[in-house]
Amino acid sequence: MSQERLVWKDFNIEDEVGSAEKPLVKQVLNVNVTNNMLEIRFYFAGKGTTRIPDRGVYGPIISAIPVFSGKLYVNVKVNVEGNRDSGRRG
Amino acid sequence: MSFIFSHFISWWADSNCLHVNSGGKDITINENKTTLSYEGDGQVEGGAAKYFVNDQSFWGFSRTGDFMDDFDYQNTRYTVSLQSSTIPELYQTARISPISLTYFHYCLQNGNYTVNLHFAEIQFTNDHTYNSFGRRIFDIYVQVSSHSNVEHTFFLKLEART
Repeated sequence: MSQERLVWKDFNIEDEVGSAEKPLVKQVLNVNVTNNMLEIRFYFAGKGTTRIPDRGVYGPIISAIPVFSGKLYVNVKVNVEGNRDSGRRG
Repeated sequence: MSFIFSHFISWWADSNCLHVNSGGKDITINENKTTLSYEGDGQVEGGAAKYFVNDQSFWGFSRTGDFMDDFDYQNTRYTVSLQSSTIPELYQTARISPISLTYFHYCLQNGNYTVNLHFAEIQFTNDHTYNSFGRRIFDIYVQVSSHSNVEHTFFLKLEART
């Protein structure tokens, strides 16, 4: 059985990366798939601005989603080693 | 031997990775000497609710909501793009949703995975106009197995290099 878990509440891209128009990668580790199904959900938090710069600018935004198997992750981990210690969360 | 064989069959039948270029087109990028093909979903049309499945690669998304106050009744596309030389192509397009957006991948081989979420705020700006005052806040859910130890799930904040 699997359940969804809130991995990030009140996520704000600009707060995380410090700027607009700047790439940000968030990595979620140890996602265990037991029923051949993976789900990733984004919900508008009901907060923030809604009319800047135009009406109807709010809600989740996502640029890309790569998912690697744990084995492949090892390669990824090695390759990003230079940045690995920047901002680890418990 | 039969175990190996059956294992092999399941390996071929199920997928073990996923690469989505949300709101964009199919692109191939070179990352760390390997070539990765990201499948785009920018062609998917809008509406108040949409269920999209890419049955070639076993993934899709479901999204709900309409931006009620933008004078665009049920947008033709829920995607945004920014033509810029300063951010990589992968981030120049994005998928948006007023309420909810769920990406899913089925026929995925059971096991342990790493999910990378790539973001870029491309609707607000860094300049000194009011366009920079926007604040976008949303919640992110990823499934976890009830067997997995949540304590071991942690996050890495990485500078994007792609």
